[in-house]
Amino acid sequence: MSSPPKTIRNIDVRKQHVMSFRETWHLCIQGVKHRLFRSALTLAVVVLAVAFFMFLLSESMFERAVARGVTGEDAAARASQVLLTKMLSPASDAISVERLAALHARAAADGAEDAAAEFTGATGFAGERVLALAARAAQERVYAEWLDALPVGKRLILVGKRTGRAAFRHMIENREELHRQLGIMVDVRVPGRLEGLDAFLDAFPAYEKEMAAFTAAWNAAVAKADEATAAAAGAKEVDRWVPDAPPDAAEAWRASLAALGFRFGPDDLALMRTQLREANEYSDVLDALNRPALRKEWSTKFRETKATSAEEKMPQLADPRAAQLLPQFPAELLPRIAARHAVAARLALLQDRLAPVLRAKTAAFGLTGRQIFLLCISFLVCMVGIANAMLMAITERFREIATMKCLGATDGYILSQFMLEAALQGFFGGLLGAVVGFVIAVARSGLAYGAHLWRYFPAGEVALCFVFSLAAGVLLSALASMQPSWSASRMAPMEAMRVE
Amino acid sequence: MTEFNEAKYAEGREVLVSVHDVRRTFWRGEEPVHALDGVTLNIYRGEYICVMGPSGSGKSTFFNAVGGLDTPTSGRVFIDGVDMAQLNADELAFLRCRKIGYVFQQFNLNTTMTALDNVTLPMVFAGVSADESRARGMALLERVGLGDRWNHRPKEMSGGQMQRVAIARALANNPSILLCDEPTGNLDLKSGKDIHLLLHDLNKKSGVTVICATHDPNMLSVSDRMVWITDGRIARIAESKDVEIAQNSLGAGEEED
Repeated sequence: MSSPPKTIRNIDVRKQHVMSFRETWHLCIQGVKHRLFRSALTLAVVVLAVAFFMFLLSESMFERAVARGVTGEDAAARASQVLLTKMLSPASDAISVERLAALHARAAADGAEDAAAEFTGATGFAGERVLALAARAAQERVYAEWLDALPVGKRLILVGKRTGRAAFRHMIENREELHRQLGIMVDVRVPGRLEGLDAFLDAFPAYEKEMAAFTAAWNAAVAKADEATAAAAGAKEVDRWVPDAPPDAAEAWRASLAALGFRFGPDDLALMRTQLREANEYSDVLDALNRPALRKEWSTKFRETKATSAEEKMPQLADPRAAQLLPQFPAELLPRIAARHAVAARLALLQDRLAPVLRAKTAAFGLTGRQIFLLCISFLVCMVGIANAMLMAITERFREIATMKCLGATDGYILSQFMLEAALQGFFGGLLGAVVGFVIAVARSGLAYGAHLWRYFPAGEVALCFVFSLAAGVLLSALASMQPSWSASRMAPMEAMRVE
Repeated sequence: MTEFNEAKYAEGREVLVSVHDVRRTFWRGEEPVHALDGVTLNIYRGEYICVMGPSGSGKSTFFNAVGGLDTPTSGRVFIDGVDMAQLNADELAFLRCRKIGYVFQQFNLNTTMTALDNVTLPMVFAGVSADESRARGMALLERVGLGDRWNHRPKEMSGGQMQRVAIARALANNPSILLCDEPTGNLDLKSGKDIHLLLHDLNKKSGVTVICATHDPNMLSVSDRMVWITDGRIARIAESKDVEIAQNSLGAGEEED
C-alpha cells in the first residue's frame, strides 16, 4: 500500500502558548463559581481541620497569657511582704546564697555596682567583694543542683547521705576517692569539667567563711532595723502599724531603715501601706467568718452550698441573704467587705484553676506535650482529609481534564489550575476555620478566666496564630493536591477519557 | 465491486495525515491484545473520510493515534509532514490546539461555561486576545446556527445543539483536521442528520479535512471515502461513489454489486 510521505512539508510546530496568571485565575474562578457545592464540601474539610488547629493554638496562647498575667499580679501583691521579711527577719547562710546568686544573675543585666548597692550598704562589704561572693554563691548553686540531679545510687557513692554543705565538705576531705569515682562514672557530666569542680572545692573553705561573715554583717543590719521598727511601732505588730501609722511617723521609720543601707524608697512605703491595708482587711474578714457564731448562722443561711473554708464563702458575701449576716462583722469592715473580697476570692479560685496552666507554661511555645500531640494528630487528620477531598475532586474531573488537553491545554496549565484551586480553597477554608477556632477558644477560655482573659489578651500572639493557621490551610491544601494534580496533568488524554 | 485504486485517487491530492505501519499493543495481564496490528493509510487534504468497524475493532485506537491522544507502540504518524513521535508534551499541546479539532460522542462540553466560553476556550489556550476570541467565537456559533444561544449553558441545550457547540469549539483555531468520534452516536435521527449536513458543508465550503468514525449509514452518503477496520487491520477501502449503500445496512462488505 502507501509508503511514508516523500515530500515532508514542515508546518511550524512551536511551544504552546504559556497561560498568564490572569488567564489561569479567570478560568479557575469561573470553574469554582459553578461548582460551589462540590467546593463547599472540600472547603468544609479544610475549615474543620484548621478550626481544630486554631482552637488548640489560641487556647494555649490564652492560657499562657493569663498564667503570665496572674503570676505577675501575684508577685506584685506579695512585693511588700517580701520587702518586710528581707529587712526585719534574720537571714540564714542558705538565704544569703539564694539572694547573692540572684544578684549574680541580675548583675549582668542591670550593671554590677548598682545591683550590689543594697548589699554593700547593709553589710559594709565593698562592691567588688559582694560581687565576688555572689559569683561563688552562683557556683555553689550550680554544684548543689548538679548533685541533686544525680541518680540516687551515684549520689550515695559520691557523698553518702550528706546534703547541703556537708556534701561539699565530704568531697573536699575525700578528693582522691571523688576523682576515682568520677573517672568510673563516664556518663556523669561535671559542670565546668573536673577542673572547675576542683577549683570550687579548693576555694570552698575560704568562701564558706566569707559567706558566714556576710550573713553576720547582714543580720546585724537586720537587728538594727528591727530595733528601729520596735521603737516606731511600739507594741503593735509591724504589718498592723505600717498602714495605720500617721504619714510622718511612717516616713521617719522608712528613712531610718533606708539609712541602714536597705533599698526602701517612698514609693515602696506607699505601696506597702496600701497592700498591707488590704491584706489586713482580708484577714479580718476571714477571722470574722471563722467566728463560731457566724459559722453556725452561715450554715443555716446557705445550707445548700458546699462552701466549707472561709475563702470559699467569700464570694457569697455578695449574696442578698448574706446581708442578714453583715451586722455580725466588725463595723469598720462593713462598707468594703462584699465588693473587694468577692474579687479576692475569685482570684483565689482562679489560681486554683490555673495550677495546671502554671505548670504548663514551662513547656515549649506554651504547649504541653499533650497539646503538641493533639496538634500533630490534627495536622495528620487535616492532611488526610484534604488529600482525600482533593483526590476525589480531581478524579471526578478526569474527562474534563482530558477534554482540555485535547483543546490545547498544557500539562503546566492543568497543574497550575488545580493547584490554584486547591490553594484558594485552602485560603478561604483557612480563613473561616481560623475564625471558628478562635471563637470557640475565646468562648471556652472566657468561661474559665472571665475578665482576666481580656486584661491579658495576647493580641499579637493571636494574630500570629491566625497567620499560622491560614498558612497551614493553604500549604496543606496545595501539598495535598500536588500529587493528584501532577498525575492528572501528565496523563495522556485518551487514558483520562477512558476512566469513567 | 470496484477495486480502490490508491494511485489514481491520490492524483492531484496532497497528503495531510500519513499513518505508517502503526501498531498498538495493550496488555491484558500476560496476554497481549493487538488493538492496531500494522495500519498504513494516507489521508488527503480536504477529504471527508469515514472510518467504520464494529466495536473492539481498533477504530478508537486508530483515532487516538491519528489525533495525537495516544502514542503507538510502533510505527509512525505524520500530520502535515510532522512526525508526532518526535514532539514533546508542549508541542503536542500546540498541535492539538491549532491543527486538530476534536468532536466527541459525549460532546464533552464544559458544563460550567456558556456556549461562547466553551468555543473560545481553545483560543484562550492559544493565547488569542479576549476581544478577538469573542468575535471569532460569535462568528463560529453563527456558522453552526447557534448565534442567538451564545449565552446558554450546556444543560439548557439539546443534544444536537451541544454537538454543534462542540463542532464550533473544534473549529476554534482553524484546524486542518476535524476528528469526529461517532459524532451522532448520542443523537436522534433528525439531529444526527443535521450534524452530517453541517460537517459536509464545513468540508465542502471551508475545506477542512474530516475524519469521522461512525456506524451511521447517513454519514456514509456524504463522505468521499470509507475505510473498514477489523481486528486491528484495514479490511477494505472504497470510494463512496463505488459503494451502494442499502438503507440501515452497516459494517464491512455487506453491500452487493
